[in-house]
Amino acid sequence: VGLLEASCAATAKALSEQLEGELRGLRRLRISRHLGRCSRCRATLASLARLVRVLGTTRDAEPRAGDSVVERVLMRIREIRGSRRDDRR
Amino acid sequence: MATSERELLEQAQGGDLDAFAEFMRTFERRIRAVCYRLLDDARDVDEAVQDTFVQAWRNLDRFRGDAAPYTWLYRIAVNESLMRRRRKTLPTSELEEARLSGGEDAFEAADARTFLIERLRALPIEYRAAVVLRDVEGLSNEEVAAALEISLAAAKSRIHRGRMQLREQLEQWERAQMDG
Repeated sequence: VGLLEASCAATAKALSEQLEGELRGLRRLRISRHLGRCSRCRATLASLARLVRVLGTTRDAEPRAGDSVVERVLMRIREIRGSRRDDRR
Repeated sequence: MATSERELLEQAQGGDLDAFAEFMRTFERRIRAVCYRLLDDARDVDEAVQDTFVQAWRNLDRFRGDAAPYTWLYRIAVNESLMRRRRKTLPTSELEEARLSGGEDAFEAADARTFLIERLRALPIEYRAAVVLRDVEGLSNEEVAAALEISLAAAKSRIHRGRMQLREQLEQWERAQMDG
């Protein structure tokens, strides 16, 4: 760990950027050097990648949309429009 | 060719209620998903979704087209959800109890997906909103920043901190599954 290699703490802070390929320049070099040598940080990166993958599969796990929501909103909008017209009279 | 979301919004800006209804149908499910993840009480979700679209209608003239329609809509949905959370006047002890019991249930989850859905609910709200928009809804970091009205650096930081908390819990859970 030194000028050309990041610490475990600095690597932990950069793992999302590493995962998303956003690291550039010297920072990228320092983090990848550290990951090359530290199996613990590599394991953390792997579990972060797994987490992001699983989170992406939860997208459709919410309750089914209520069909009447659009109708109820339209009703409220018509009321708003109606009261605006009344105000103008 | 289907009318684009942007065109629907432009037509709605001109007073076309049918276009706005079509716009709502396009996004209702996604907006519901975000509200569902940000609100602890499922009974609030329906109202939050409705309020999001009513607010969107009221503020149609503020949509300038510099952001994607869905980013603009997500921003309204997040604000509606956060306002609703703030308005809740549950005593602290009750809130704490709700939060803790959700966590215990989660550790008995049958699979990682169910576990994470529950654990997301126990994340501090600022991390939760960022992680939901980025990793569940699939927005880019820039879009998350726009939807939450924070800087890109702050958005990235919240996403990362939220992820790291969940990652640690997922790892503990996976270890417990292997031991058990």
